[in-house]
Amino acid sequence: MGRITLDKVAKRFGEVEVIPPLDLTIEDGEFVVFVGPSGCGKSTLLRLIAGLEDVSGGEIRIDGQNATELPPAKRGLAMVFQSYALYPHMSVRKNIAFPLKMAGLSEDEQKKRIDNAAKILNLTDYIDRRPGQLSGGQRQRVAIGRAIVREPAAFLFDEPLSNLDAALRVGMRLEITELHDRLKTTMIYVTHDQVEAMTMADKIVVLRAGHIEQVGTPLELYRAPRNVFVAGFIGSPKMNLIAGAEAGKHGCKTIGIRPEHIAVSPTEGTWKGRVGVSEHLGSDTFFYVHDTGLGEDLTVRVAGEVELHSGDTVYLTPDADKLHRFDDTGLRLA
Amino acid sequence: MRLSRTPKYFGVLDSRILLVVILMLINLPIIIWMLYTYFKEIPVDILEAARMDGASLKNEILYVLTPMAVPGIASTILLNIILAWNEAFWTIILTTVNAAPLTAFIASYSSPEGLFYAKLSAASTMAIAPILIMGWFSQKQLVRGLTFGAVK
Ligand SMILES: Nc1ncnc2c1ncn2[C@@H]1O[C@H](COP(=O)(O)OP(=O)(O)OP(=O)(O)O)[C@@H](O)[C@H]1O
Ligand SMILES: [Mg+2]
Repeated sequence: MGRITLDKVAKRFGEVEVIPPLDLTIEDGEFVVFVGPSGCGKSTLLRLIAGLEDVSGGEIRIDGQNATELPPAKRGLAMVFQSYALYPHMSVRKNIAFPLKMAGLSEDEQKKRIDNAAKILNLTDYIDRRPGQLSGGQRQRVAIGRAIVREPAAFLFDEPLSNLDAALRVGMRLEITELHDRLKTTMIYVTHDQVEAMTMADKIVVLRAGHIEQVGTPLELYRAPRNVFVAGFIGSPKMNLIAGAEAGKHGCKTIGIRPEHIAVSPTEGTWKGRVGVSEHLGSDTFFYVHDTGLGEDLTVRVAGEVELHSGDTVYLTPDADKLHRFDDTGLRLA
Repeated sequence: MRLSRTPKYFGVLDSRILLVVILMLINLPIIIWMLYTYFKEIPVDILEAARMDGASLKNEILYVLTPMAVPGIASTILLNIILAWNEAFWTIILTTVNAAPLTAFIASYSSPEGLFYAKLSAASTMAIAPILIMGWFSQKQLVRGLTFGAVK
């Protein structure tokens, strides 16, 4: 079981309030992703849950039990660090055995669990090596192995893949998702990566300056961002946000339209502009369109390859159904 | 000599225990400072990982902190053995016969009757030999990267 409840949890470092009182419930078995700009308090929140930082106020409950004052060792959670944090003087086997040894499990039970974890994570070939003799991806696997053998109530990941190269990241992303499907244990995952957040999460928590801006499934956040911040944060490339007269026509302060919801035509459309840089990804093409008269440059995403050159005039038409409207305070209008 | 008056008063002049205490006090600041830097260099992440893995403070020190500081502890020990071995000022003042170490013995070759260069050189060479051999065998420990492979 791993139901985690944060009740008015707050954290201050000296005078600085990094996390103002915050409520959040993470259901058993859920895969929850924390996203937000750098310095918004994602790691701090994770470390509060882990018990590596003391809360300045509020209560943390794990499976209904008050864990606020419990030391990390007693919370039954496992953590995977961005830096892997393996014990350099121990072999892979001993690294994985360490939490079991600390829990006082019998040798037989330890061996059984280690062999099982090694099999799941393909660690068998290098089980007797030291961390220094492994590649980054292998080290991260060992770190995950060390977390799963304990059968914790929940896993905490702090940007576990950000030290890996792009190809390996995709592979490990799938492995972690498969692991979650297999173990069905609660996972809390901090990331900068849009794709990781969108593909892995059951529920995304968007944070800004320690505040929760919105909680929802990836598609809820994509389709109906609660405010301008979430609208601009979720989605890549970023949603176009247009204020001023054009927004006035729709009866609001700001309108938002995602780059993929704009139709491009060489002859007619709502907005006229001049093509600047275009980025060809093969599957998609991104255009940056200037001189639209909207006060903002627009980003447009078109499927496939499109021949448009810098300086060409284009006409853009937003998909009316996919237009987002926000009021004076930045909140979404229905 | 003035410096030997207090030990004489306490009846510990020219005794090994006095030499041990004095040499330890001289080297203690270096020992503390070196160990402090070595322990400080151990990444906090690894200690936090141990805490998450259920280690108590005792186990954290026993199984993670100390083993990771072994190269640092070894080099501290070695350096301080060398310093103590070579220490001449206090040892010559505070010892005569009973507790006289090598430095006092070597110094005795520079006597009022003149310098015995040959004997002095031979004794000095023999005096540095143990340190040289020890350093040779412990160099791997000394240079081994403290945190190699632990964090990227
Ligand atoms: N020990 C500390 N003492 C003082 N301030 C701290 C401490 N740890 C973190 N902070 C501050 O708390 C804020 C949140 O930090 P945190 O590490 O949680 O950010 P983050 O969202 O994880 O950022 P990133 O995405 O860059 O990892 C930052 O402004 C940081 O400067
Ligand atoms: Mg962080």
